[in-house]
Amino acid sequence: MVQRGFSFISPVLLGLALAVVLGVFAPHLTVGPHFNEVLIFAAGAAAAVLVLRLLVQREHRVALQLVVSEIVRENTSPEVAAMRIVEALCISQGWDVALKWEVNVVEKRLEFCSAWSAPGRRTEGLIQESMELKLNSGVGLPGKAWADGHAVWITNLAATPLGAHTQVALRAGMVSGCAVPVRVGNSVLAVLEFYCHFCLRENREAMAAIETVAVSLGQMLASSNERGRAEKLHREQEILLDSVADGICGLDANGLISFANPAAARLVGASLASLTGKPVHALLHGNGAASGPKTSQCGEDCMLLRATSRLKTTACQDTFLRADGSSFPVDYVLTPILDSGRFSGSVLSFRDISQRYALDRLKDEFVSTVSHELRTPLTSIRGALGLLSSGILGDVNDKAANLLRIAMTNSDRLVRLINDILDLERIQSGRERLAFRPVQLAQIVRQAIDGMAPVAEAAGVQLIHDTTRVEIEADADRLLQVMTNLLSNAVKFSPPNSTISVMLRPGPDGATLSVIDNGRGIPADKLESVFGRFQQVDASDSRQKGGTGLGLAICRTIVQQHSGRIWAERNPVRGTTFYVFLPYQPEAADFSPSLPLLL
Amino acid sequence: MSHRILIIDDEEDIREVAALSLETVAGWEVVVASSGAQGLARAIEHQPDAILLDVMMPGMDGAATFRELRKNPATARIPVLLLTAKVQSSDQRRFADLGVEAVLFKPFDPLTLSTQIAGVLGWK
Repeated sequence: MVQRGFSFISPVLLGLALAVVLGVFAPHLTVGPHFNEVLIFAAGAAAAVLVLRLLVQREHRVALQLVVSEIVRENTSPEVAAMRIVEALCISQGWDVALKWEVNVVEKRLEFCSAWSAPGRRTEGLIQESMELKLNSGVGLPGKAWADGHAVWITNLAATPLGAHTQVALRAGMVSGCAVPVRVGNSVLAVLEFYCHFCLRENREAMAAIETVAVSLGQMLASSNERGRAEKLHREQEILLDSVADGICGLDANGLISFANPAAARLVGASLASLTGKPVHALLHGNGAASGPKTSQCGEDCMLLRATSRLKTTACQDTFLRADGSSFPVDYVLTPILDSGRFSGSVLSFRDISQRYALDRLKDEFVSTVSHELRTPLTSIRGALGLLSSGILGDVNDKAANLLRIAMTNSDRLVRLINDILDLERIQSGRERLAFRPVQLAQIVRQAIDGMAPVAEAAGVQLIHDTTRVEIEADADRLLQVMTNLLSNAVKFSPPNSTISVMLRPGPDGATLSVIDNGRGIPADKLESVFGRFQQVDASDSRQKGGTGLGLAICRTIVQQHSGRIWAERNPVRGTTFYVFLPYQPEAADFSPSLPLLL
Repeated sequence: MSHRILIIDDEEDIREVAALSLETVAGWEVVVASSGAQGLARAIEHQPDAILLDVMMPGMDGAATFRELRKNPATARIPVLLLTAKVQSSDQRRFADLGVEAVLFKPFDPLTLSTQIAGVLGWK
């Protein structure tokens, strides 16, 4: 208001100044006796008004800045604060209407965001039209401010062609306008647009005030964006932790629970609040003083007990206690957190595996039942065929004898198949834990060769072995099974009068066993697939050699459980060599250890 | 020397084949029973030299039948051999705990069944 008043004074000042100049340089033009005194007084008054005017303007700018700072400090929502800032500016400078446009980065245009209007100014039409508008860079007053990158002041809108939007402003009776971009760093987030019914001349103070306000607005928007992002991240994290089915606990450097997710509370059967601050070991393993069903016998090797000092990720199967004293089997992973190299806590994640145990038991029972059900009718078949073909119940002619032989061979094959399937299932499920102890490999080889001797002799094949002595940590029975299998295959596919050699070679990490035959060999493209289930090199092999197709699959599973490798290679001249690498010490862990969390 | 064997198995075909095997190959006398309860009664009545006992039977299974045989003084001293299709080692451990003479596996070779039994019991 006041500023508008001052702008009227400028022509008055100009007139007064002119009068002063005339009086000084053309004194013959003076009119009355005291004219000179009047002129001097008028000049003085004009100067005073000018200075006052500048002072007041500066006052206004400072006052406006204070108001804006106050609004920003009040920490209301950025939208509300922005509107209040715009309102303050309009009131201070005399604008009738202000429009806030937001930059749509994707579509590269300005879109209407909000508007403020002085009461009773009939600006609804302008605001309404603006709501539908999308302005490209350079289009309209706000578009120009955006394109130019700085404030634009149009004292006479009618004289400046800026497009349809400006026409609407003119139709609403606007005379002057100004637009200023609101920045964060180098990017423009929004543009503020102001209009006035009166002619508002551009002046430096007013422009400076507007630009200062735009800067404050920009800073406010930037910090609220940051907060918004942080809040969003925090919310997403919470949602993640809440929805994860595994229990997750954060432990501090002393092994106390600093946070827990809902799943952890549910698994342990306690409330979230009651978990926080509890020592994790006492909670999950029970402390020695507890009179519950499981009094703690945790010794030095209890992972949970050493949670405070452990600097390696640990994965384990264990049993945890619930709040009501009952226990449940778990798989857990404890990962230490290193903050600038110092141990600052750990993260424990665990899951209840009683379901898996139950499923395993069911599968176990199923396999056992099926195997039993299949064997029962086979018993009758085998028994009947055996008696018939022996001739003990009467003579059998040659053709009949042959048929009976075929029937018996195949029912034997069925029995072996059932045995192998059962075997493979048991071994692969890992429920039949291997019994590792120091084993002389040469002894296993010897045993296998002795066992195969009758079959080898019947086939006219010679079995030889070297005398290397190697000791490894292994399950002797299972290794014998592997050796017997490999030898059986070698004998099956070796021609009469050939030799099968077994060699042992110790290495830095373990020993390599090779079974070398002179048979017809395995095609290069089948060297890997023979280890698959029911895989045989040739379909005709099944019928002739009586194999089940599971032998090598079983071998591989056993070797893998020893942390070893088994593979086959074609011999340069003829035949195949099966290699088995067994480490001196098989790894006991089920999980591969991962790195600790580094912050 | 002839022996009398009692075969307890709920499968009729297996009873028939096993009986035929023991009779024709070894010349033994065979009595059969189709359930644990019937087996108990037949054991008391016929006093066999050995009992071939199936494990998986409805009603009273092999383990329960064995315990009853041991409880009854009339049958307590008759040696029992289990005949089973359950070949898992976990099962075998349970069988060994029972206290039977031996565990024979199905399917069996009908020509050597009698030799196996004789070998376990130290006959001939």
